[in-house]
Amino acid sequence: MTLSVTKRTVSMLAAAALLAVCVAASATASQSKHTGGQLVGAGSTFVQPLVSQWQAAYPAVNGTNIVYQPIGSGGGIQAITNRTVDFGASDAPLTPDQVTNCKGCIQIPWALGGTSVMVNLKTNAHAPLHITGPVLAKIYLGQITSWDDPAIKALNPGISLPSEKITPVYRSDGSGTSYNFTDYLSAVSAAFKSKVGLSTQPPFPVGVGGKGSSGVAGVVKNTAGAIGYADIAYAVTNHIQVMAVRNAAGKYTTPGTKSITAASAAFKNVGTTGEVHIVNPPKSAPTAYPISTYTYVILPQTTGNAYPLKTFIFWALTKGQQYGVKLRYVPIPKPVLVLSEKLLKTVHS
Amino acid sequence: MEASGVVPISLKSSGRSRRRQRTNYVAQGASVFAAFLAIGVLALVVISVLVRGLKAINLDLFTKNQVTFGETGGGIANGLVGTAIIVAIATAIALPVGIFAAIYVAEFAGSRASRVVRLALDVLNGVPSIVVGIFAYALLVVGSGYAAWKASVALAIVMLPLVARSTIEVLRLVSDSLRYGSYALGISKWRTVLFVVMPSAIGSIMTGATLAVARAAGETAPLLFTTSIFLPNQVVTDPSHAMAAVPLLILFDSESPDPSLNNQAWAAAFVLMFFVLVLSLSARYVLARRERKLRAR
Repeated sequence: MTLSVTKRTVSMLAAAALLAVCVAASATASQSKHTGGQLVGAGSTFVQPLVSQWQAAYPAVNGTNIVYQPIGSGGGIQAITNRTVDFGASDAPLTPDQVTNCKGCIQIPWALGGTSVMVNLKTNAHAPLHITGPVLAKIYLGQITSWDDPAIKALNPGISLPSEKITPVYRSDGSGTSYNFTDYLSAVSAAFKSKVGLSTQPPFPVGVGGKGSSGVAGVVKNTAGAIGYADIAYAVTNHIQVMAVRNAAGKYTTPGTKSITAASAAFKNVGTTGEVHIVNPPKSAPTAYPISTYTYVILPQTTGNAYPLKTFIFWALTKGQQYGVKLRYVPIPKPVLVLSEKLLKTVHS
Repeated sequence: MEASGVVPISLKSSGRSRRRQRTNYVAQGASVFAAFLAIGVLALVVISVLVRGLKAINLDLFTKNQVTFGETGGGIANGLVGTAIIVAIATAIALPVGIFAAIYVAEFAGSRASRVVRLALDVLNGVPSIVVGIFAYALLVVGSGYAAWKASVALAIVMLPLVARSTIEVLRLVSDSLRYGSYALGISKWRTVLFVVMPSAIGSIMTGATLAVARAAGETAPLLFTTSIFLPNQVVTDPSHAMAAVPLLILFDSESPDPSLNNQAWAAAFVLMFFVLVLSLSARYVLARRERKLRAR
């Protein structure tokens, strides 16, 4: 053994040991959760297109990075319950059980959007195909299985609908969009309400699953004859055709700024808990889109991060709303904004 | 020899012998087929990943970060940096622990203690990585959030038994005459281990460690639990924040409805596979050569 080899070995081992100590030290040092201005959130894929706009814009406001992973509303509620994130996001309001588990969480409506009904179908139509809630319910119950079914034909006179199998696509993960969609279908179809009901993980008897809104959009895009539901931003950015859904006034509407605004305006009483339902608006709103929803940010009422968190959410509720318009999110109306700000004030360190 | 009345013996096999021969052909044929099937599966995986990924392999893949919602293009630069940092920290944790554990087992422990430690290492090696992931999640992530160093800890748990086991094997191969020679000169045991045994084994130990690195680079489950909520469009270098990693980007991009991101997932898969294959093949080659040398000594 030459001396140099021995020396090298010793120094290598010493270096390795030193590195290990350094890592251990930095690990303990970084136990404190937030260094370098970063807020971490997870949940709803419905709101992700809007949050990604905020991610790009907010660092310029005050240097804080927004980290957000679209894992689905169910995952978002789980994440904030386990406190692995600073905020959760869900399009479904918290259930009483979830409120208990989350130990002092509050939900704040922070965005407003429409759940589009996407289809992958070649027809001679130049405008969106027509559909009604009850027919949609029958499709998702497996009672209507072909695109040339008389029930669909009757809604689309003059359109040649192919004799193609309908593949309903649903969310495989816990989803606030599923909640919003089944909220609507339960409101318009008693059969749907009793067989499937309102749920973030509805037990649809037919169809195929897709993970997240982007997963559903992907399956619809790649499956001929598919029908699915996701926030309208996913249909727009992925160039998927949407259906026009008949509202209570008998008018066919697609999700857009005006139709979603009309839906939210039809509900005057917003309550105090933050939970606001706006599906299937009454006849008095003829331009309303019937599958619109508020989506919520879920915050722990007591958090070490209260200041940066409140600053960000306040910005999102006010200045942040404008970033959604091109993606067809609608700025939340005044009464809800007042409620949201009031709820936000209860968050403290 | 007269063979009057005796049936001439045919050289052709018949009866039981023929049946045995047929059985032999079938068995041999089946095992050859199985061997080629194994090669075929590898070839199929490599070729299909290559064919699909090739479309998206370009400079952008390595130099650009992920895109955010609605944008298309981008690359996996943040994932490459993240994987490098996460695996480097994991190696820094697993290597010293693994090597010292191996030194204890191979040089100091009695036969019973050594059996226990080796058994523990084998069991640890058999723990599915998703279990390691959920363990790290429960221990480190719940209540405090995601961070790259937590992923490193989880990966270090995966790497530890690999490093320790390979080091034990290498230390066993170091000839006892070296140790006796050292003792005969009056050198104490710890000095013998550190300055005589280790120098002759260090190369092989490092190669064994390289195999562990290759394994860790491709692990996904521990990362999902510890670093899956990260800033998508920036390179993050602070290990106290979550970082993107190549296996995670493959998963997320493959679920996108955007076909160009699907292609990017294939390209990232190819990059990861190429890295792991090259690393483990070269490590195996070097290891085999060194072991031959050690045996010859």
